[in-house]
Amino acid sequence: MRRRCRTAWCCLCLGLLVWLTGCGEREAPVERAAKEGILLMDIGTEPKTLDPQLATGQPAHRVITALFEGLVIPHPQRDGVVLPGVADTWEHNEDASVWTFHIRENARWSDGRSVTASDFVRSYHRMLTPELGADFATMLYRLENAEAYHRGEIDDFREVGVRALDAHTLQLRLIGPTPYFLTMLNHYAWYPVPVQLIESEGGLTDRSGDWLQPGTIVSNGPFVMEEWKPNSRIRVRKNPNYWDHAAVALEGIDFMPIEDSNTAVRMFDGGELHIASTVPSAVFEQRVAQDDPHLRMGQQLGTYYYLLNVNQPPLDDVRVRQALSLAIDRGVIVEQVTRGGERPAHRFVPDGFRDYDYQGPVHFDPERARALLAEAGYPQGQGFPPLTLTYNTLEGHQRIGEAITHMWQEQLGIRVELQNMEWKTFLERKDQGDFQIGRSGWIADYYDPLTFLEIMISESGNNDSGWENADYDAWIAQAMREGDMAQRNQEMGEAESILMEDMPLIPIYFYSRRWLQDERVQGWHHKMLDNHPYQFVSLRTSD
Amino acid sequence: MGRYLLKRLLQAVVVWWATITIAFVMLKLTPGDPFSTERALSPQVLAQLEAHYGLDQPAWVQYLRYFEGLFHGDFGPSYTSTRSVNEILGQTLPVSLELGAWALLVALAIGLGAGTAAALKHNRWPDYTVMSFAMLGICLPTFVLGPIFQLLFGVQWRLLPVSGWFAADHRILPAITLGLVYGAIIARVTRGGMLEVLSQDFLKTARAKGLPPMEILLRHTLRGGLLPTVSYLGPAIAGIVSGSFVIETIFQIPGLGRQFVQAALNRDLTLVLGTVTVYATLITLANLLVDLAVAWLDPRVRSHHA
Repeated sequence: MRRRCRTAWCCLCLGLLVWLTGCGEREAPVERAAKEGILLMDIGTEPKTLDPQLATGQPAHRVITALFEGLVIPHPQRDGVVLPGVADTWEHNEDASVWTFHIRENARWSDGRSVTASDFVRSYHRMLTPELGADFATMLYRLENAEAYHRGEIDDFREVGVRALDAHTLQLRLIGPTPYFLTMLNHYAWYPVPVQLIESEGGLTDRSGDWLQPGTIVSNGPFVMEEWKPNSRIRVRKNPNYWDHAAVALEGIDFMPIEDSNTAVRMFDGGELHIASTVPSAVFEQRVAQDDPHLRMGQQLGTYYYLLNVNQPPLDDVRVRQALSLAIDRGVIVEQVTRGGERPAHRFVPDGFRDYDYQGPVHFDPERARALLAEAGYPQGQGFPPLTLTYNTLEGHQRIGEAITHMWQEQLGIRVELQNMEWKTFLERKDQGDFQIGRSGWIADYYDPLTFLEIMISESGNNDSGWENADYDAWIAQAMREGDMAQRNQEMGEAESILMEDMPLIPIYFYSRRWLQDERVQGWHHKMLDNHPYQFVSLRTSD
Repeated sequence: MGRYLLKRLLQAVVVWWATITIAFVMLKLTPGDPFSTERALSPQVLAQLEAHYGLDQPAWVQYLRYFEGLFHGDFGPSYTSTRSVNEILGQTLPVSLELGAWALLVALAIGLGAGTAAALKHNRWPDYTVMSFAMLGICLPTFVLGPIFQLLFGVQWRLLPVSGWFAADHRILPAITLGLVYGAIIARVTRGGMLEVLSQDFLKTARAKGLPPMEILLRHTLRGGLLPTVSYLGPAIAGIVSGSFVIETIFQIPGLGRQFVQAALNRDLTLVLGTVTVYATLITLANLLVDLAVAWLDPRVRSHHA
């Protein structure tokens, strides 16, 4: 009995050893996939939908740009520059308020059908149908009468500024001059969707997305969907019907929704990902110290800021708001707290928009801060009512909050309590104006400063500060209809200086983008909006 | 026995109804709505969405409608996904059950083996070693153990995939991570149960009769010694199946645990209720099976029920 036992143990150990050594030689998935031309990348969380008209958020964006293509595509390297997509040429009238796009003859859906101008008309019709409940329908408000149609004020879609002049000519009439219109078109809200298919698979306003299933879905981008395993993998393969399929180097992409960015980093280290799309700041520091050749970094078009409720005393006093901002040493925040390559904010609109690059007025000046606070009636912080800074529960937000409240205490002698809240509860409180100082962040939807400035106009649903300024609204309205780019930048600058003077929000830092990239990946460049046209990406094998 | 089963079944129905109702009320009282994001929705879009999902109706109407659907086996649409709750449950439950089954297998193999060995070598070095490791296993949380395993087996030695749920080798690390904690507890419980039985008179008799040690162990000791372990399996199964959220997140497994937590955070009422119902069923079922097993093992319990 005992001997038999020992023999069994020996066999087991031997077997384990053979298996271990055998496994040791196994090829890393990144190498195997590179040979097959398959890019392995993580996309963050599982997208709730891949319907370009219902999707929101970066994870969905990463997949949708592989499956669908708009009139233009983003440049692989340069932000705010577009290349021809479904449209090969276009022109606009003198003030850039009427645009005509010529759709290439060989643009096709993955089922072989031609992509026509009327596909766009019907897609925009669906997007603007109120019953669909599309989050980004407001993106299309640039079109004449689109807003009225979406609000149900007019019933005839023919009044909306989109028309197929013939099968391959699309005309878009806008509410005003829009010289930056092409960069807006990079947003997936403007992509065409296979309306015919959607109609047969549940109807135009059906949100269940049956048409998105592999085998059913029809798309017009460089790739087609092969497999969608929720929370596991979305697999796309080269689309043979894509007009430029010969130029597409990759055979396919495996998108993996990985919620935990630490797991994504470990998968990258284990040779299971070519791209790990985010690097937590703790890991980032360590990789910088190790001089990791895979680490990539660049700026992102996003701002981290504190929103002030101007209806709550003492925040109704502009001097108090200014004092709070002047007492923050943003250099310390980015160098000692966030430590992930962020840059101190000097205004609300982040750096990076071409021709909108003036130095903002936000800075650190404790002397001036104290003087302003004394002027407001609180010398050395005496008699200053207790304030609360609310943030959604996350360690990073807490550390920043602790640092900043400490600075306020130190420089101004005022106490601000920290309060954390679960995300959805936090959103509801902010929306109802039930807060004093609220943590906030904003990321650009398209390449234009307006994507930031428009959220602070009086009627914006995102302006929870209670701040309203008629001059600000007027400058923004003017900038929205300005045909001359230089003039427009100046108008937006005027608006922003009002915003920074009144200070309903305190900008803290501009976000950075950090990711890990395998050396086999070619043609993947830093993009501030993180929009990468996959047709320019290729994989090099090690031999 | 039949009456006993019927009674338990009725109990289960009450448990189902109560858990669904409590979850429903709690979620309705929680601030926040499923559609809110950092980017505010326009009021008309929000109104459309609420009408689409019937959320514009009073809460009691929603409650009744939910039960109406439930009677037809329809868990309703998920508010935050394009898939229906039935679809989501259908895709994620088998994954969680499979993970749970592997983890339970690991837990039983480790726990029973180590616990029995420790009891047989009571107060000698195997006992101390096993119990020290068991203590360590109980104390180490899975969110520490998981990443350590990933780093060692996935990154350092590249023997096993770091995460995912595709091939057979993807099952190994998560099953071991999840199983170890329960294995440690089972080892302690088994050791206790065995020690109690080992000191009983009938075993002394068996030994005195000169029966071979293996036969004593298998036929006489284990039957009584395993009773506490079997009773513990009920809560263990419930814990393994419903508590896999952390493991599923670390190892990127498309299971039910993640859906459950995400749904609550997203205020996805129908998905929360769907997962709660499934969990309530599983836990009730596990407890019933364990009770039956205990009755089979222990004549005293059996006669009580009969």
